[in-house]
This record gives sequence, structure tokens and C-alpha cells, in this order.
Amino acid sequence: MVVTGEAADLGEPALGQTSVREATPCVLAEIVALLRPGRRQATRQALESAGSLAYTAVTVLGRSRQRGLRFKNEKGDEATGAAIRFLPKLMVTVVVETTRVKAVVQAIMKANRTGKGEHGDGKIFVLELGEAVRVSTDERGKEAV
Amino acid sequence: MKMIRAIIRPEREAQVLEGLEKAGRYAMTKLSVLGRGQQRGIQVGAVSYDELAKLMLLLVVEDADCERVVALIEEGAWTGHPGDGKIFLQEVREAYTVRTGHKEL
Repeated sequence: MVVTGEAADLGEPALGQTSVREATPCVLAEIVALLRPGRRQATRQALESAGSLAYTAVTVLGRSRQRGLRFKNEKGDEATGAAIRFLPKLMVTVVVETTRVKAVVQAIMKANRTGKGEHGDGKIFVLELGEAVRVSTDERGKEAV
Repeated sequence: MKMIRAIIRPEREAQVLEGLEKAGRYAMTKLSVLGRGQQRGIQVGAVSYDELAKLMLLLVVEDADCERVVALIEEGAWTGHPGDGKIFLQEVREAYTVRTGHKEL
């Protein structure tokens, strides 16, 4: 596809033609896991055991309803004490067929639950994925994954 | 549920966070990214900046709260100039809390 100097106008398909790719049913899901950075290796091993070798990881900053870590000042007052507003987390993204979502989520969960009720273990989100493309071969859908 | 993916100016972080925190929205993930829009970065004299530093915020919210949260982000992030950023929405099917092991946000 040639991109011209102006913003490329992808436009509507010509009359009588369908779009380049027919809309395919959503067979893939994107699992986005926000985890403790120290659990990187354990998560990798858990994913491998669950049959998922491919993932992408990036260091991010995050927090949930606890508002990061807050410490009390000398008077025991949390509002004016020190605070670490955002904490380093590891964002791991795995693209899988929807049939494998449950197994992968459970594998990540097992590798990351400290089990002591401590906040900060993380969250796992399962998102819809429209399409996947393997760059080297232009394969689409589950063959691309 | 929706995942709100907001790409904003890093220098507007304080305003955006202030607006969200006032509305009780603390839960989010942020990461520094490099990017550009249709303007292809900016040119200052002889120097081209092909990619510019931006801040990406990720928030997962219930569908009913989505519009309000997007509006809050827009309010804090807006300067009126190109480079203010973009907000994308993605469908989230499931959310799990690792600490409890349950399917909950």
C-alpha cells in the first residue's frame, strides 16, 4: 500500500466491492496482565507450561484503589504522610485463541498470587482482538499467533 | 467494560490526574511512549522531531462510567494545539483480580 504525502485516505470500498478483508468472527483474545515485576520469570514459566510461548512485556507504573502506597506521618496521619503514588508493574500481553483464555488466565493467576491477601498482585484483563497478522508471512487469525 | 487508552501530553499529567482523582478514579496504569499523529512530529528550525514523548494512560471502567471518564481526561489534557493526543476505547470481556483469584474488577 503506497502512502502519499498527504494523510492517506483509506476511504470506503468502491461500489460493488467488499472491503479488502471480510469481517471474521472474533476468535482471538488479548490478555493484558498487570503484575509485580519480580514475578516475570515465574510468569514466563507458567505461560510455557500452559502452552503459550509468545508474550510481550513492558515495565509500566500503576495503582488501584489503594492509591499506591501511603505512609503515615509522625502524627499517624496518612493524608499528609509520604506517598508512592504509582508503583512499578510489569504489563504482560498474550494473544491467544478464545478457547485457551481460561487456561492462560489461570496460569498467570497461579504464578502471581502471593496468597497472603497483599494488595498489588495485579489485574488480568481479557480484551477482544479484531485481527492478528504475522509480519513475515501475512498469515491472519489463529495461524498468525 | 471498556479499556480507555489515552495518549496525552506528559506535561498535562497533573491536570488529568487531578480531574480523575477528584472523581474518585485512582486505578490506572501509565507508561511513557513515543508517538506522532498526522502532523508527523514537529519541525523546529532545521531539526525534525519525528516522534514525540507522550504519556499513555490505561483505565478499565464499567460501560456506564466510560463517557464521563473520557470527558474528564479530555478536560485535563486539552490545550487546543495539535499534539493534545487521542483516546481509544477497547472492549474488555473479563477482568480478574490476582490477589483474590476472582473474576472481578
